Amino acid sequence: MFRSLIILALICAGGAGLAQDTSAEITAESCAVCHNDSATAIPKIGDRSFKELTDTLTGFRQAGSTVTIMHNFVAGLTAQEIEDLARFLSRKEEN
Amino acid sequence: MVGYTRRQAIAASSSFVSASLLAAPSLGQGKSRVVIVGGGFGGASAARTLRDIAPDIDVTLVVATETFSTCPFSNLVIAGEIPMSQITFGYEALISAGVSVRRGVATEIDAARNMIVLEDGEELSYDRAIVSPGIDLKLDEVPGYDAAATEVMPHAWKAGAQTELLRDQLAAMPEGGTFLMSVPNNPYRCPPGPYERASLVAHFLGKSNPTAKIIILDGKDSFSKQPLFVEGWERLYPGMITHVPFAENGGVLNVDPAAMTIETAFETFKGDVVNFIPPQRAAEVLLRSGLGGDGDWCPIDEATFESPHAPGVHVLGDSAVVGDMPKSGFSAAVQGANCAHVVASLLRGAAAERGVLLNTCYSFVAPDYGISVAGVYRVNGEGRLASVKDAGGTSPVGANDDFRQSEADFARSWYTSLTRQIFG
Repeated sequence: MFRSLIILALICAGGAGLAQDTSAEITAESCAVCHNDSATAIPKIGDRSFKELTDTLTGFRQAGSTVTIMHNFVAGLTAQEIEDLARFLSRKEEN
Repeated sequence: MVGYTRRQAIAASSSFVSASLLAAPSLGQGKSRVVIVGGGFGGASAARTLRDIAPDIDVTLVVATETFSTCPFSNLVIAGEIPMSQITFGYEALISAGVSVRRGVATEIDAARNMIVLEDGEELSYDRAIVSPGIDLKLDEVPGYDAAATEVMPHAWKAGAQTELLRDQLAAMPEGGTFLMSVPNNPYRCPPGPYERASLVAHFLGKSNPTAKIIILDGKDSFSKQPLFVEGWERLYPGMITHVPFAENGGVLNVDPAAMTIETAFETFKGDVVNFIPPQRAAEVLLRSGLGGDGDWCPIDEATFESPHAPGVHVLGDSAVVGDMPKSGFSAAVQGANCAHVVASLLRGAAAERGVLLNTCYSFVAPDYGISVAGVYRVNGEGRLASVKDAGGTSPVGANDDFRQSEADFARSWYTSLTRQIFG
């Protein structure tokens, strides 16, 4: 167990905390259900930068009901959660 | 350029932590085993996610049928817009991903012995079980509506042969005939589903049988996305659909398949085609195994999906009371992914981490006219998976045709993505 904690500490060093990361990963599972396929009318979100994702998600707050659905989701997320989610979704590009 | 998939995101992100932690002390004696019951959105999503995030856990998925036909989009089949083959999926992709798919019917969840008992006598042992077997219809509830009656007055509330039967009856309905529907009170699978069905039946009849009528006998007074449905009906099918709320029918007393009638407290209705959607409950195997307690649905710890009646058994999807989330395929898929994370964490001795859960549900008022509802859910201080205040809601009433067309396009994309994520 202690060994696990050390591994965790090492992995998390310099990045977001594991709790935030795991939480963002779980939230991203919901996103992926719709946004996983390039051949549809729903934009894929796999090739977006952290800034683009943050701007887009935050922008839905202002957009209100001119969009169909996303503003209703974003209204339920805190600014920190949006940031964690954008970091999680953009990070895979670095790998 | 590679599109976003959960699998890619997982592979490239924090979850490599999971793999490195799987050699936790409790797993010292070989691999942990998770048995999942139910090959629908909930079970298959849980299996696929576990395969992705926890390669060191054995995953067995027990499925009742060789293929799975989705209830989402089955109303398009009934209306003759798409074939059954387009909503029917096999388990090949799950097998390729490393899931052991076992064809069989679970007859008992034996939490005391950590065993799933199958109809053919085999017993599958598990370290943790995830069960998502969906609904059963209460055929004993309304006098006259028994198994034989389902062949005359199809419910079509489990996609498959019933869907095709209702489609064929609709196509053969006499000119100027009546399509009579009965819809139960809450809770039941897919709250907006009956009203989407009425809409798409109206679309079909508008083309082929424009003097026909649709009557909906409702077990409640208001329904999901009601303002959006009613607006669409007035725009697209004026005068064709009559919704009779509970207050105006007093409840269904009995049905008579020979006479094709439904008797309510106030009036007897006759249909040329009768679509009787009966009251529902959690799948029989769960209630028989005591997971429903004294009720029709399975209560759970809403933070972990674990049954208070069966330690080590996690229940999700339509069978369970999952906080404020509706009984929908999308909800079940999201819950399945979430539960996979919970179970993987618990099996390696870690606390279950929670994120936000989303639900999206599109309905067609016509093939080119979509409407939607969205919800955001998180576990609150009392441990309830509650709707987040001021978030979620339906798409707007009064939107123009382009907006409704785009929602119809999104609905098709939503379905493609949802099914490909799990079965593709």
